[in-house]
Amino acid sequence: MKRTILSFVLILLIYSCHENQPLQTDGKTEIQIQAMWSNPSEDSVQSFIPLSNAEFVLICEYGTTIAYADENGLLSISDLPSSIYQISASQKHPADQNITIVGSINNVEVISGEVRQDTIYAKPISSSGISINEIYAGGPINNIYFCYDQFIELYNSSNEVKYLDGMQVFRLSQTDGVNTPGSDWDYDGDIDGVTYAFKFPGSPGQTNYPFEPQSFLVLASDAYNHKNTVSNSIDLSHADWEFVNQLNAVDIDNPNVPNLSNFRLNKTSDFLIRLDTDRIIITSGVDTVWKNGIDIETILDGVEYRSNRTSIPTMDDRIDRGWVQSPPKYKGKSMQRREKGVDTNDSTLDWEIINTPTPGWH
Amino acid sequence: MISLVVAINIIAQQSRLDQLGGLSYSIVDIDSQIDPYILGGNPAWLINSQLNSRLEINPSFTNSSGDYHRYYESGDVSNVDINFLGIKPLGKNGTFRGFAAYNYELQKDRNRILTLNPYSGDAFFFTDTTKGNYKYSGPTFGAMYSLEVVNNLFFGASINYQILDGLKKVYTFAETLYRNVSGNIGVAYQFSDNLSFGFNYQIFDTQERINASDVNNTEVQTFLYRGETFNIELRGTSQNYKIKKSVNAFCLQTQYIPIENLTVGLSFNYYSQTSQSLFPESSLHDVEDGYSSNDKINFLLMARLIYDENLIFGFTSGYNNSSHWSKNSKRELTIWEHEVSDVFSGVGLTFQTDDEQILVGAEYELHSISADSLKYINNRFTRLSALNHIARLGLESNLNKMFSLRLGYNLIYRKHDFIYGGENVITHLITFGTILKLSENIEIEPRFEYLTTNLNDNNLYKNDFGIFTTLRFYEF
Repeated sequence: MKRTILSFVLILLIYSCHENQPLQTDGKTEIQIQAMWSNPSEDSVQSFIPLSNAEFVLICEYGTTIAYADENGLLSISDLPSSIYQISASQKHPADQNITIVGSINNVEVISGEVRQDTIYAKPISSSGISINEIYAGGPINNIYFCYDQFIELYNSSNEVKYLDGMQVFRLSQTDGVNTPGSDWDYDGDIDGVTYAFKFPGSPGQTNYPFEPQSFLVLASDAYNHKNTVSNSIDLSHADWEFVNQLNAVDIDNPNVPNLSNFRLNKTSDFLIRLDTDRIIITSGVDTVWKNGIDIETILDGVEYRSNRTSIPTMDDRIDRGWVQSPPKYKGKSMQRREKGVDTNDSTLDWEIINTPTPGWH
Repeated sequence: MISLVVAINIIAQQSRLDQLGGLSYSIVDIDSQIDPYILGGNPAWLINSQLNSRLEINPSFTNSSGDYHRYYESGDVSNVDINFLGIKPLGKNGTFRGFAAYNYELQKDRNRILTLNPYSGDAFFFTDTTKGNYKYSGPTFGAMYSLEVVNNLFFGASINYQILDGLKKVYTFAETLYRNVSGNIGVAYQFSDNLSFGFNYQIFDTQERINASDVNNTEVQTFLYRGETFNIELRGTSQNYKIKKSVNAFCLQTQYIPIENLTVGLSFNYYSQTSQSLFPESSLHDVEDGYSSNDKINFLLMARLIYDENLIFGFTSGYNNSSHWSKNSKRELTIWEHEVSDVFSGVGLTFQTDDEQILVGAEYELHSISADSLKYINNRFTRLSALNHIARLGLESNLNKMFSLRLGYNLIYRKHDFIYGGENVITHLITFGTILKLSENIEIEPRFEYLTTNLNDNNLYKNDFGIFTTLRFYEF
């Protein structure tokens, strides 16, 4: 009898090790979001109207989904997996195609079985000026660790000529052992962690180096035809600008391309960025002392890109609330804004991976 | 499910039955006895089931090729195996059975998947981005012991240990370490010469660890699919993934001889399997991403009537049920759920001439299979049922005392193939083998098998062939 009871207890113990099947099932998520915007030109009193046929971008751990709203600006999408979504809506301004109406909501946790209803209030993003439009860091497809055809592309989305004189480009990847790069280490209104500091010639306020409206500039690490080294890399011999560290005698310097020069004088490296995780900022150049941090009000644009979806971005929220998912290394892919000049300070929504780098065009 | 049974028959080394096309319940053979050892794998009954010493050396080569396979499966799989099986009755000290094998398998151009058995029913698939050759190799060791503890009460136990090393030969150059340990403990009681009962408990513990780190030291890109379409991308200089499976099985068997020459066997098995999809965080700590549960019930009735010296009738019937679900552990949501049931019956007979020179056997089975698949995360719900048919034929010709020829043929028709998804699937299996008795104590049994599977509705096909040899010693 004892043996029988013991056997029964053993079976019960083994069965009790089983976890119970959850009653809730995945894939039953429904999101209903309406995109609205206010058009002050039509009414002196602020009233919101639907953002008809808006493009919605939904990003979660499973990747990116693009869907379109109906005429009432309403997007209804069902059978999605449960996750935390970043959602943006955008549409061209009906009166001016150079203006984009953009809005977003972040960290929308949608539980299976629920219908999540929300509203995105979008705002026109007019030509605000200079922004980073593309970053190509990962290198072409190769097995010799070639990644020297890196470039950064800038875009002047305004309708006026901007001037590059004295503007600075920084790579931020340093830590002090406690704080992370791109954050405000001392809570004093600047961000820290400068690794490389390069600048255009001249000083802010001068007008020697114009940046034409609605145009691109390619800043090459080396303005060289890299196809001579690796056939499927990029010809950057016609880049607009080239990073040249004047303290490095062997750094490639194309005489036909003007230079950005190093002003962190203890660094002799070229302006090379990490292939999959890094932070780039451009500043007006008014703050010339990088050692105590870069004053936030002087920063024109900043982007953080990273490979790992689960790690936490480190760039200060005032520069960028999100981060760009980088492509894998040595795959010849690049990172670009979804729409040129559209900068909502949320790179998660603003950027995408493209299969082929597009230096000088979008 | 039927395919699985056929596949197991092809691989298993029960050489005479395999040479005869897999005849089982309507033929008398040492490997087709209706007893707790053969029916339910009860080690306690080994002492009564295997009365003679034998040592077998079984080398084999099999190949399976064709485009009728699933997305993550290779269209060209070759397997080289050699195993050694020894059974030694020790008189009052019981019976010992030892087993050792070494297996090498090459899966050519396998598509993306990095796990050994992607279609185990779990909703999780760990992949990279390339199609390439994957090889697995490693040894298996097993030992079984059976003893009559007191009068008519038998005790037995067995242990098996298997290790496989896997390597993908292209990016991401993933390496697999697969380990499977199983134990089996059983008791059996013989109430009388006509009635015996057996119970055994089995436990399996399987762990598969995959490490993908590119030899060129660049980044590796892997994906964990939850279901068929939604995946999370994982990147880094190396990626690790682990699957842990645990199975507890309870098996009951009975052997009943109601009248002389009629043997009836009943077997009931309950398997409970849990599976964890894990990301190793450190050498000691794994983070569970997914969890699966699979409960199986197998009920089998088998009967054999030796009508006279020439004629044997066999009957089998059974019920198999497998219930499986997977969940996303972080969110506690069911991702997949599916259930497969199989009710089957079969009849067969063998006829042997008076001079025992010719034996002919035939078996026919009808399987009524139904399946419910609820892939919640993919919003795909299917319910299928189908009648599948298996016919087996076997012919044995004993040309003289030293030499026999054996032929086998199977015709399998599946209205729906519940494994590979095809409709109106026809499989032909042809086996050809001989036995050459070199002396009283030594014999050799070579066998060739060819299996072809075609679909009526399209040009998909699969061809399998195998070359097997058994070298058997009755004294060692």
